Amino acid sequence: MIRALLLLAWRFLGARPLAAAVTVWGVAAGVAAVRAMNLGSDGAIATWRAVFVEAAGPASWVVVAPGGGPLPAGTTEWAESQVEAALPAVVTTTVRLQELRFWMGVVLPEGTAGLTVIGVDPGRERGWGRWRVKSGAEEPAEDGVLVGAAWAQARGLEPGGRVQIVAGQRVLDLPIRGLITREGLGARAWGRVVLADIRAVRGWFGLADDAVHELALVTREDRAPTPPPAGATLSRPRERGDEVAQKLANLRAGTELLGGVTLLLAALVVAGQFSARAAARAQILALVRTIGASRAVASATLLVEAGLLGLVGSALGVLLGGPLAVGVAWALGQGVQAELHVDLWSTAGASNAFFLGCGVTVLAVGGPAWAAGRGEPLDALRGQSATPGPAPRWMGPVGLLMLGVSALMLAWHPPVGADRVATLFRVGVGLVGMALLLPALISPLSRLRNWVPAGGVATRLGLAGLGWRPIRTGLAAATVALALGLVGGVGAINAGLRVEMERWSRAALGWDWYLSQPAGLSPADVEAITNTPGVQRALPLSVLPLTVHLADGRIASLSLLALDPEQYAEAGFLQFPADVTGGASQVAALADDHSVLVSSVVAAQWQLAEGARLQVACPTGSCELAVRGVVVDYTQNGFVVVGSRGLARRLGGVEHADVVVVRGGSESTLCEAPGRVCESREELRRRVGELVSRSLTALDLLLVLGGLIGVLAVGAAIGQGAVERLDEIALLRLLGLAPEAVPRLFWIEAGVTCALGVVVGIPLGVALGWVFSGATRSLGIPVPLVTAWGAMGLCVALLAVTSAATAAWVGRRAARRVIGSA
Amino acid sequence: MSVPVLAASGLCREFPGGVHAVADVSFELQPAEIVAITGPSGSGKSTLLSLLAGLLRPTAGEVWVNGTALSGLSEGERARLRRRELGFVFQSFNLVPVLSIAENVGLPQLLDGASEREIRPRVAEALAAVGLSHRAAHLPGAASVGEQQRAAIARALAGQPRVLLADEPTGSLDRERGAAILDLLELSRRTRGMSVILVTHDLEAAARADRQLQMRDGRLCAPGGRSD
Repeated sequence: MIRALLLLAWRFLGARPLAAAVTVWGVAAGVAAVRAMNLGSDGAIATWRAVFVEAAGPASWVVVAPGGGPLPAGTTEWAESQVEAALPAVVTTTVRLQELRFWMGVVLPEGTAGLTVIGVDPGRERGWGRWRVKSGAEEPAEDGVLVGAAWAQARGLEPGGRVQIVAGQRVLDLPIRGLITREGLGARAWGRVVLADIRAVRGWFGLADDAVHELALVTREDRAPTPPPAGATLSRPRERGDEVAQKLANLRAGTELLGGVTLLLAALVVAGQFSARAAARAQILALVRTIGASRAVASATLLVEAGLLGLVGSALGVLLGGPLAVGVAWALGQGVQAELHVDLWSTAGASNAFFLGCGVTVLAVGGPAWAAGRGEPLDALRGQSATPGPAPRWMGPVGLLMLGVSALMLAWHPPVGADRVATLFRVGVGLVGMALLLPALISPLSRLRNWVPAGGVATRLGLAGLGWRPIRTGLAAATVALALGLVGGVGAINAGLRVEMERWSRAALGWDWYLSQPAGLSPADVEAITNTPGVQRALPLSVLPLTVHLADGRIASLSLLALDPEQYAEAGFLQFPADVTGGASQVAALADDHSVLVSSVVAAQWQLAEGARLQVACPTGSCELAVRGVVVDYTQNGFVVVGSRGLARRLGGVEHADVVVVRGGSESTLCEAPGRVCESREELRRRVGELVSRSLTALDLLLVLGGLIGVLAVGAAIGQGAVERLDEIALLRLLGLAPEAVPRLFWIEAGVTCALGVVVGIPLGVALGWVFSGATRSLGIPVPLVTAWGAMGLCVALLAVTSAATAAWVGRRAARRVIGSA
Repeated sequence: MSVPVLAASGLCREFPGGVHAVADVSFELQPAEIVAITGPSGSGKSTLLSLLAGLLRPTAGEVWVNGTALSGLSEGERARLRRRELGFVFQSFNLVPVLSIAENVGLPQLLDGASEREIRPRVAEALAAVGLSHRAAHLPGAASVGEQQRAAIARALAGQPRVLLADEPTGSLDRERGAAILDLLELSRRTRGMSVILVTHDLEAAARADRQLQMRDGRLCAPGGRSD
């Protein structure tokens, strides 16, 4: 039996290679999207995990204090008593002096991750190979450090040279003894690493003489040590990446939603294709049934064929998804200033996407195949089953009901703040409802021919043609609508992010000049800039490292961005979440020198909200700061609190400015001072624009994919419709239909199918834009609702051109059909 | 009288809307008998064929093929019975266009799970019987309408069925070719003892049958007789 099914499937595929190719590409596009989204997100998460595993080197276990900070006393002794080696380290973050001007997360883009300083005990580390030297000395010493090779070389730093880093209020000028590769400890912070002697690091950063932040435990056998002392946590290295992976899981939910919608589009293409195949093959299936095949076997001939196409399409999709995933990972990496790697050969992801593609293909064919097995064989053999008929009566009401339920559920639980899986389900119900409703509308539309004035024969026949296969035509319209919906949804995020970034860019980058100097700008420099002819306003900004003790005992290494609250409140440069009003008053409140704002990343990672209290070190011992609100951090990587310059002065006596932003003035008067780094508003905006464009590449790719699947669906539906009716067209020609009227007939049909899809697709695109924007807002990124009219318009134009061209092509082919042979 | 190879009793089929396509038909087909069923379009001939072949379930009544009641069989069992006991020939569209003539002839055996080794000699024999050995590798489109019809008969013969159901087998052929097809059916009856139900509008073809029946308003009667 299976041989007979395979033989039939194989021969049918060979008989219509173009239709088979359309199905294969439809499946491949859907699977490629799913694969790319999965692979890209998995790659991002795996990269983060791998950094922690890599950094652990030979260690099986790592001991840290929850939330960071020093390990409790006795931890080292506890570890040494039961493991082969306990390798201590202190870890802190800082910034290279020359790059202080970039250390501003929420105010200026780029470079917010800074430099990770790792203090190790060279004597204990010998023989364990926790780092790999690229050039220079093998290990750090009290008078010199090893530096990440790629980071150093990009800045022209070599062994024998020196690096200036900020430690509290001091600047350290350290000799570089060697460069280390991005392996082992060199993998931390994507290679932005300074490896130094642990004793020196403790001294530089004012840590206790016996402070240890991490203990890497090397055990002979892979067995867990006894529980560590209270205040210390024992974990596997890979578990340390889970926190970051958790953060990326939000991104993953979004990418999977988009991949799922693309796959649904592909399923509609396949269902439409096989609906046409089933109709065209009614007589063959009837014949097969009469000579001994059951209904199930007759249906199985289509399912086997779908399975074969699904196998090829899914395999192709898996292959294509790899390069697409590289693009996704690259785009995701742009947003977080990291290099994310994609495992193109990940078999788990590949097999999942492959089987998903095959399964969806076969499921999509289930309906047409079932219907194909139900027909009366002898009627079909006599050509009686070709009589056009409307879609089953239940489809319209059920579709409408599902649409209504979906709309109600979404109105009741708006996507902002709702569970993303639940939102996906609510959207899915609506999309299935739409796919059921549209075929039910085809037959009434077809009856419009009764109102066509006399003489419009082609129009009349074109409208009649809609009813030939209402389900197939309806599915084609649904595919157009869904493609437009996807374009509208993704386009809304894309356009929303661009609008938001432009708004932020206008506000935050609204100054004419951004001035800095490698050693900072002294109060005299700031005064000179302020008094430069033509300068209307000059505002100094300072940044200093800040160790924050949270109320629950956790310790976080952040930076304090100090600014003039009154000026910033007036200009509205900081961005607040969309649901926050009175942002200006929040900034003005910083003037009390006890208040700070935290970046959205800090707020999310340490669960800080308005009213939270932070303890920081200050000259009088410990000072308490109050969190007044959260500012949006578009880089999602700014570990920053924002305060007043008065606060910076109080905490660390900071008088210098790292950047002075200036309104007015000219290049010739502002940028000529020795060592002055000068960046104009245009240069900075261009840089931000490029950053935004790179970050949105993955969305652009999806937009193109959605549009292409829609085009594929319309082209395939029109082509199939024409091929099925060659004989009928020939008959119409015999009865006197002019050859030039044949393409017109198909244009009418294609135009109405497309128009129906567009009429439903545009509102769907607007609705999905609302859903996607809401879901993005729930990630903490305030994307305004911007309807992607441009993207949808382009998609409609593309669909219209494709429909017209396909209709013209098949129409000419049908018109050339020899009447006698038909 | 011997046991009928095909029998129907009180057969009825009602379609939605109260249309009685077949109404209270009782009928027996003896071994090696050719029965012609004639009647106007819409009289229920096709529906009767579908019921006799187990393609359609009757609203009432029973069909026996070789003594086996179809009502007790599942869909799969009825399909198997069609493969092994029944053969079909139609007016047109007899062959699967993407399979060669040899593959078409062997298709019922292939569906029945027979191996290539079992199928090949049967196909060769059946094609030789209808004089189409030279067309074995050709697609149906390359053969004439008459050859296609002979290939369809070869397919029916290859399965060595007890009953051949022929629905207008000469309808699309000219008189000469039509006569050749009827000769072939007659030969198969003589050499293989195959019974034939011939549904036709062609009174000349019907005249060659052992028995003629007429279908009118869903009822079966003798030619010229009245349906009751």
